[in-house]
Amino acid sequence: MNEPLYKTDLTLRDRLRSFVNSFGLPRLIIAAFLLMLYIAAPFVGAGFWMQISNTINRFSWNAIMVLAMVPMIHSGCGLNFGLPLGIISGLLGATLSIEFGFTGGLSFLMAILIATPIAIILGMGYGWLLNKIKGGEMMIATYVGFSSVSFMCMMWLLLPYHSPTMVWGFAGKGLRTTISLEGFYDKVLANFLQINIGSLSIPTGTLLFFALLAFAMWAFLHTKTGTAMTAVGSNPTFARAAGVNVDRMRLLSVVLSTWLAAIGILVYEQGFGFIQLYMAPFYMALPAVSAILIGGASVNKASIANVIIGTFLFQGIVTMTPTVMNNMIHMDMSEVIRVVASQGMILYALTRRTEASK
Amino acid sequence: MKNKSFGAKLLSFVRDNTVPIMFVLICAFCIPLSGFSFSYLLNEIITRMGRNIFLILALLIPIMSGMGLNFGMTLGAMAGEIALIFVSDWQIWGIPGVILAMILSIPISVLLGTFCGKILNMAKGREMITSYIISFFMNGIYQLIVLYMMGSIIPISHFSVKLPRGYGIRNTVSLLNMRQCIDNLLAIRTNGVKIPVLTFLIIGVLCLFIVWFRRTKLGQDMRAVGQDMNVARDAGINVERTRIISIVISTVLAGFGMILYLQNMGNIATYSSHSQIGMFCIAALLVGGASVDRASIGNVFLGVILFHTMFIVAPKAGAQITGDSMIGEYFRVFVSYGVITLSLIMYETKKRRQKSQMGLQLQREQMEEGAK
Amino acid sequence: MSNKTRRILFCTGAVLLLVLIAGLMFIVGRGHTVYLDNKTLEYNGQTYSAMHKIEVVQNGKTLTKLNKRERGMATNIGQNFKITLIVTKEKKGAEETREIQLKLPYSMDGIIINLPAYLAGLPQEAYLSEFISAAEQEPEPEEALPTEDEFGISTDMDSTPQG
Repeated sequence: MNEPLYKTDLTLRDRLRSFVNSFGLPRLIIAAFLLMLYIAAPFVGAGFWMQISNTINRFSWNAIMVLAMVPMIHSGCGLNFGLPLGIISGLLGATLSIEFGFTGGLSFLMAILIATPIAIILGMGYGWLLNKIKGGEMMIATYVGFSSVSFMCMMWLLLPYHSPTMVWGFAGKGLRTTISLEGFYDKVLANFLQINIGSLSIPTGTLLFFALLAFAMWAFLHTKTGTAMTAVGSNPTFARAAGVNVDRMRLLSVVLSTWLAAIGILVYEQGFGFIQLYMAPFYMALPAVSAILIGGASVNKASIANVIIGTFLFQGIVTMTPTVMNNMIHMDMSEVIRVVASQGMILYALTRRTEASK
Repeated sequence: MKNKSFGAKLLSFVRDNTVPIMFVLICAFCIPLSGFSFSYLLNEIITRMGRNIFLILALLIPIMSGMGLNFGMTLGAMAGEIALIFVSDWQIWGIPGVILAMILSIPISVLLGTFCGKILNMAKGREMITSYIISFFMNGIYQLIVLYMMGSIIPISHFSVKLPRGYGIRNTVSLLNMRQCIDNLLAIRTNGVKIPVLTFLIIGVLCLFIVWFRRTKLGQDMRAVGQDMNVARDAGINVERTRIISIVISTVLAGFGMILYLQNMGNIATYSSHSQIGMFCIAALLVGGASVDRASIGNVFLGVILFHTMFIVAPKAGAQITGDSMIGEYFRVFVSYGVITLSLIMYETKKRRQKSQMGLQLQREQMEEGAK
Repeated sequence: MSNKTRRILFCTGAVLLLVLIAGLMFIVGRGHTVYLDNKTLEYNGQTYSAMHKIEVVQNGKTLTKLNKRERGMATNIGQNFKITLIVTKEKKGAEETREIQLKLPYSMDGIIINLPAYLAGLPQEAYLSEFISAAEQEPEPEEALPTEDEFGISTDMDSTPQG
């Protein structure tokens, strides 16, 4: 790289180029595309405020799962393709909470309380495994996620659940594929301090909950342990020399990530209104991974800002493309656009040479 | 003394072949439970061998060149499907249709393979996850082409292929007119078992090709690249080019394999046939005792037999044990993923152990140098 | 000849060969569905009445036996259509074996051949007409598009075992 020596010598073009370089071309294209969608939306008759509140809603559902990517990226474990493992802990928490007869807002609290120990135990096992195979984390994480989801598919059928709201009516056993949360914690966060102005509605409670977790994460990263974790990610040899227990830091980051994923799926469910079991968590890691990458993170660098920007951009595309594209060209190409944009983003991040794994 | 060495040998044999042994045990346990007759089972396995072996063989060459399990073989499968869509649009039937589809798939496969290889060269050291994401990415492009561009930009006219809305391809494209045309030619039928001789002949030719290819200059280069890229580069091998070629060959073979697979099935599920094919082929290969850096033709055959036996008997056996057929279905999916996970873990731990051993050795040598 | 030119020649040769084979397959492999009618036909004011019974034999295998006003189906790969007809003109009449060989037009998927007209030696436009399937004319109800996104998974690779 030919870095100019004096900043004052930078021409506008150079500055633009370095901006594009640091921001990444694909990211720029996606942001521009979203901007275009928002500009086009009112013209094609898709209510602008409706779209905005849709986007904000979906943002509030998904943001915590994207936040779950941060700790593992910081500790150098790469992108957490094993997110489904945490999601499963969350699902176990949710179903057990209902099984034990909790209802209303209490069921949400209990779901979190039950999911936490499960997530910690699973996360420790997962982290121990990832410590054994440093360098090959991402591929193995993917398959740990897949195996655990397909293992749980059997378990959902076999575990002795009895709550009539959850099991198949005719057989009396085996959980349903989707379980309605009405009467349990459907929209329990979203309805808290909800703001409604015309067609714009903001789920304040969910956003506050995310803000709380995001702030906690930010604060944690600035504690001694947090900085040690970042040091492990950016330079493990140096960190080891400084007396940091590398394996312990990595383990901690994996547990944190798994726990956040568990909380994330619970928040997602309360917004969505349903628990989805069986194959549903299978590919849930991919949207979260591409969201944080779109937000400006790379395989070994991520911040809370990346999470917020990324989730907003990604969910914006998810909600905007179907309506706008449908109205503009009468073809629903949103599916294709979403796949190409999100997978393309992951590909771009994986091929950055400067960030080659150690 | 002799006894001990035998025990040690047995132990190392078991350790090196954990996965196949595990599968033999699963199959031995499930077959009696499933209650299938021997001839039924044999017929099914032979059918599936004819259907899948070609595809799995396509994985061998990237393993040879050290690029791991080529999840990008899905790209070849897509190329094969696109070729078959054209052939059924033109109403070319039977064996000529299969041959035409194979020829048509070559340029598409080469294009996709080159793309895949170039990207993998930019992501050295994490080829597998990258090729895995490429397959998703390309699936998006494939949908764009097949669902939106075919019929509107790319000429497709036959009503049996095109969606009634005027563009896009139907969810299933029937290959009734070329169904099992290769399998049935020269087939031998005895006691309810059909042996598709011609298919096996084609597979045999491919096996010979792979054996021969290993001995060519290019094959030797690939092995050198697979051993150590830097050493190979010092020896004057164009590493990047060699790696691209190995992916291209794999993609082309996967395209052929997919066409053979689909002519056996008799229809294309346009938007889903290819999506899981890579996963199943890789699982089958690993079940046969292959690892991420070492795979032989023997592994392929053993893997197909073991994996598909499990696949056939698991639902029935699961239903016998638990009274729910879904358990068995989920079980086999779990086992497929579990096998891949296990093999990946074993490969990575082995790699790390070797690395640390090499480091230790280097340290020792340096100490000796210092002592002198 | 240098190594490089030899390689280029070899490659061009291989590509040409493949294109040639592909072209050949394109012609040879064209499939047609032939519908054989045993129906009375009026042509130029003359009536060619249906036979009592026609047995259609292709490659030594009996495809169908057609009574009056019946239609049979045969498939054929390539443009040379060859079948054997065993014709019984009248009830209890003698059987007569006729070998038929005709050229099918490349552009037609489905082809109707009126056998009485053909057997009477009429010109092609009299006995041969294109079959247009009903499915092609009537727009079918919109087929369900793939609703399942890329995150859907089919758990079964071989979900449609056939044969």
